[in-house]
Amino acid sequence: MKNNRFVSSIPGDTWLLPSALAIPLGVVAVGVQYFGPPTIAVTVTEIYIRLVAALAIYMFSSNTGIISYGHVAFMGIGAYASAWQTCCVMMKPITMHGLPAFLKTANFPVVPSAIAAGVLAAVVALVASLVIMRLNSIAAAIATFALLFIFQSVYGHWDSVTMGVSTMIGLPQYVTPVHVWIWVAIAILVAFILQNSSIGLMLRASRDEHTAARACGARILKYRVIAFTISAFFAGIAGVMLGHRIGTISVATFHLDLTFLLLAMVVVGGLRSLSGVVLGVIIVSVIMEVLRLFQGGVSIGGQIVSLPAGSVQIGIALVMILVLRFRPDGIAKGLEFDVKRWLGRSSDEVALRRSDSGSSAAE
Amino acid sequence: MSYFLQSIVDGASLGSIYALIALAIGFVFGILRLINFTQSDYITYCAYALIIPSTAAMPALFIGAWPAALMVISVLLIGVVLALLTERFAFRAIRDAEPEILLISSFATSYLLQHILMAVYSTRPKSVSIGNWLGEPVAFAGLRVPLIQLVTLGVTGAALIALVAMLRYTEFGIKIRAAAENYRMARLLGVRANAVIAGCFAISGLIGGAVSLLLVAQTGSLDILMGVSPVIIAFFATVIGGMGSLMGAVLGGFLVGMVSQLLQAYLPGEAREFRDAFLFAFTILVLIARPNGLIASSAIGQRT
Repeated sequence: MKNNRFVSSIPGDTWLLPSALAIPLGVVAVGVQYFGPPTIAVTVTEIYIRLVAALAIYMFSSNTGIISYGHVAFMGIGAYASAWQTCCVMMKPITMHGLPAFLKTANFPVVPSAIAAGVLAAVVALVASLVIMRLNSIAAAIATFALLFIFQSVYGHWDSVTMGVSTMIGLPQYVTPVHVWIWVAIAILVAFILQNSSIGLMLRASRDEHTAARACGARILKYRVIAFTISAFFAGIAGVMLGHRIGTISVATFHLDLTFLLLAMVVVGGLRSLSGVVLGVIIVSVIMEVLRLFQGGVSIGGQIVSLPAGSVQIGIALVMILVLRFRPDGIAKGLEFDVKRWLGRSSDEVALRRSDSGSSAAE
Repeated sequence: MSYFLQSIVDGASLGSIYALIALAIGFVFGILRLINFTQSDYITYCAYALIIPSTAAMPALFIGAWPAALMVISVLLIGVVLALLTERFAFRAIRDAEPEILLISSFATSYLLQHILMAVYSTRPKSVSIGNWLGEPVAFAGLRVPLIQLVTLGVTGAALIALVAMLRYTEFGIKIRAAAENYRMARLLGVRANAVIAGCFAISGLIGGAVSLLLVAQTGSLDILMGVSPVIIAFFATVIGGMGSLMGAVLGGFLVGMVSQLLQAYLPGEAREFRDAFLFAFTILVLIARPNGLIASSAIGQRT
């Protein structure tokens, strides 16, 4: 932490962790996109979109200890912002007559639009967090929840721009596994840099000992605002990907069900490590897909076995409750994969290593 | 003027329901530092108990067909039993966890209960007719007020007075207040944690049952999400009033009901649709001005 203000010097081999998380995901993305059946490609795309969203929540919540119930609102903001720029140029003047003129009459390329949409989500988060982050942790969590409801109320009724509660159709469906993976890789990298930066260090100090961290001169409000803003950008991007994957968006998509699913993923894997979040998204997604398969009916030994509707949600809620009960730090227990050991280099440590010691080793 | 008075009566009626739910949330939060999302399921389950399990849009009545007194008692009892079950199986084991973990757990438990109900009854809204006569307007001080609003005010007023009296004068109430003030000290002085906590859940279940009857009588319909919105608003009411303070919860409930109705009545046309956004923004503003709510409890934040 000598010269560079925010990125404390990270030793070369520490970069193994984000690479070890991102590269296998990339291999899978390329594999399913070019060689796999389309249904698998869709499933993988959806998992990766959730991964971007979960990583966004992770960037903020793991460092600050404040669980955000409001990130789905930023997904919605991003999705709508991208739709305004890229969707249905013929219909826009009629269905969304409240849009400013430059959006109403023209369409923009998808990637700059996605970035602009993420920036909009980040700007909204910046303004909101200047207010919210003054609160203590449980009150701030409640305030992020209020954000979700404000989003629902505003976007659900702003008919001239969002078409109210109706579904907006005709978004270009350009999202492929590899395309989302690029965002996954960027999100992993940013999350990793953030948690190893002095910002992350000071936020975690304030998470564990708020008063002591303040007394040591850590400017908690500022760092919380920075973390919230960066994480909202990625939530916005996840929303954009979601909209352009399905081709339609509606306000109802970005509500409690999605919030719950993302929190379940973050909690099951473990909020306190990057490996945990990646693990959590994959585990919960696999459980979901298996339950969904059984819900549709599976033939076992000539008998059709099918679970009643709602089994997916009930199953995930049960998994989440059990994890919270028996392993409140998540499956990864707040530890990171020890990549060096896997690569066969010397390491006396166990297979997983504490993320916090990773950052203290960086000093 | 009469429009203003009408809004005040509407606000008081709505606010009294929020106040009741906020009190239920406040009871549990005061002791466990747990924000109990399953409160919404107490309301929904009690309401759905009125009909036979079915996915039809106009299902036959079950408990709803029983004589009025028996029906009310049964519904209240279901609320209490459900609340005690959630306490025993969902929350007792994690009682000493961090407040954040408790919050997420109750969110998950609520989601679970909601989807179990959905699997049995489907998501289709249903209409039930109990207490239709309560919808009749009555002339009252120059206003025409639906009878149900007066009944709501009466029921919630009586319940609030009974609860406050219980808190103030009975031994159990004193134990609850002691535990809410300083949980560890109360335990050291011989207050039995399980009994007090179960008691608080039982009261919140009772309130859930009462609120469900009032809501069904008002709207004549059942919806899987019928408990969620009032509980979320009541939950912000407890925040405004001051988490952990029981009088604050009541005050916050009435305040939110009033503000909500006055916004509805006096916001200009286009802005009226965004009423809820104003309401939640108001919550955040109150939190900024008074981070511990209007009536700050000494035990706010970490459990002492």
